[in-house]
Amino acid sequence: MKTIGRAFHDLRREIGWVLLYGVLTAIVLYSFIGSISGFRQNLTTARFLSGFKQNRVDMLILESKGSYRISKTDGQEAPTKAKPLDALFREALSKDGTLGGVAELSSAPSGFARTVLIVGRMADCMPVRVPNDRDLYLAVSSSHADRVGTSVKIGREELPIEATVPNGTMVGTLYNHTRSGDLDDALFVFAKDYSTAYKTFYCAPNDFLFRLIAVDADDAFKMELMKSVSSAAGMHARLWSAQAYLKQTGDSGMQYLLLRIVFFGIASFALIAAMVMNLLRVLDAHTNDYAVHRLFGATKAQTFLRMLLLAIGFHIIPVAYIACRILLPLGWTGSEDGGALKRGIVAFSPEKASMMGNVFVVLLLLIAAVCVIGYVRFQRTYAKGMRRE
Amino acid sequence: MIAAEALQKSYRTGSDTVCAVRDATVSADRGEMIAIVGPSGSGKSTLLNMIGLVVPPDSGRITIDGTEPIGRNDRQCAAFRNAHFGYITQDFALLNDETVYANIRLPLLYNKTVPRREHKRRIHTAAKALAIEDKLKRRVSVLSGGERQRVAIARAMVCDQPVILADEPTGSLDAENRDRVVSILLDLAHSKGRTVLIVTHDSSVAERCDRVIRMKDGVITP
Repeated sequence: MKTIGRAFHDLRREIGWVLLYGVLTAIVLYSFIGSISGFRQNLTTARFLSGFKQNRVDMLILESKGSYRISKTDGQEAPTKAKPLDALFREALSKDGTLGGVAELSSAPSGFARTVLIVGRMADCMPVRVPNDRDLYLAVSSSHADRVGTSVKIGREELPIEATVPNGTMVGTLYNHTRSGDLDDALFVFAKDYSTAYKTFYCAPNDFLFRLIAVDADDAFKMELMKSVSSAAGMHARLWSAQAYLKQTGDSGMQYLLLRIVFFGIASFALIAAMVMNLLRVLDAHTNDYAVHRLFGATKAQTFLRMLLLAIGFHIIPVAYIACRILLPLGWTGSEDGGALKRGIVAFSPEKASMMGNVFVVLLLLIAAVCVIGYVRFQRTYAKGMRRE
Repeated sequence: MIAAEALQKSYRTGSDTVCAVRDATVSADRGEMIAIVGPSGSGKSTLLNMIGLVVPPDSGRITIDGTEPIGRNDRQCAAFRNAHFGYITQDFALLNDETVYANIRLPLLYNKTVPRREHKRRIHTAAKALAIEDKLKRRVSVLSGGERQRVAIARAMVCDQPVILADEPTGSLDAENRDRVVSILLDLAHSKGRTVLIVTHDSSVAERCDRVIRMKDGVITP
């Protein structure tokens, strides 16, 4: 208590620095972590889309008829006669067909943030090998790996969970309007075909319209698909090849992110350097106090603890900010059920490098390391004796 | 009271090793005030620092009041320093943004034998003895040099430390304050039975001490 009181007293003398420096650190940390997270997201998108590219995937795009303009580059026109969508899906939306689709089920079993239904050829573009003989196959994101081997009631069936999907996996651009991190808490249901999905989950064709792909399809089928979708949805449908999409969006997005990472990397480096130098300056400024206390009875451990508490107190704003992000289920650090804590605070894998737990540990280690340096410097001064010229 | 035998201390400066104190043997009785004099770099302060357990000797023995503190762990050494030594330095070694009261109280915070309820009485007694009782609530940074040194002396005696180690205590004081500080230290030795070791360059200070130890090139000379 005595040492904590002394450290608090030391801190009061530096309150201006604590506020200014703490807010700056928190801002840079937040931005840097956001950049790393965005970079990771883009990498997984690129990885996913390369699967689309390899499979010669065309993505269905729906546009309101009012905003539709015939694109000369597409060379596609909205057809006028249509086959019923339900019939088309029963024929083609299957593992042996041409279509793949994703739908999100309205409810999720306990412990999962959402249930994602993946039908037909979409499974070919996912990092999971679904056995050919299975009508339904369940997988979970890596963060729920402990659930593999258990079973869940889904739709009308009790089914075993048999595989994991790497964290960070997205269902491509189809989820662009949501945070990809949400899928780290998802249950993935792979259905062999539309009929199975319809029977088990009462899916309607419209559920797949905004997340539909055609794999290795010929022009005639593409025309038929667009005709059917346009007719059923009352919107203009067109197909956009993954290759064209990647060309248009992939490079510029990645370059922008790389630039951000370089910028925040430099900012973080400068911040860390400033943090080290500033901490050493503060500790040096208190050398006289520490020495006087040592002369009159403070132990080495008390002196070091006092330095450490001062250093942690100096970073109380970023430390508290990170601690809150770990403990409170906000954004991509956790899910509504407190996933970050449940999965453990620290995750030593590249894809989790930006996790708050890791940043927290790195920050504390850095503070401790600077305190050790500060303490060695203090000891050198103290060893000169009572008179210190 | 103090028995230091064959103390030796060397420092490394780059590739050279400088012997600061060589084979120094010192003894001091209770109630004795001893001056350690000598030219700059002769090892006076190093000898005082070794006796005060601030700097560990390379070899030799130190006995304080029949106890050998060297070789004890840090916690025991810290407690020993607290209970036995009061330190006074040329630059006062005070906590400048603290009050006189807080400065005098410092050794009491680490002392486990003096009950907390007795702190106030002891601080007031020490302050009264040094004529700074009216300044207890003031910050030491606003005091004069002589007053600051009296605060340092009060701090060095508040736990009834039997040994007072003073490194150039009058170095930054005017003649009047110098004489006053020396008189206080002499009184502490002769009336209160404290052992006072004082490092000084000032011959007028040394002359008033009971005994003088002379040092040259790290060696005690006759």
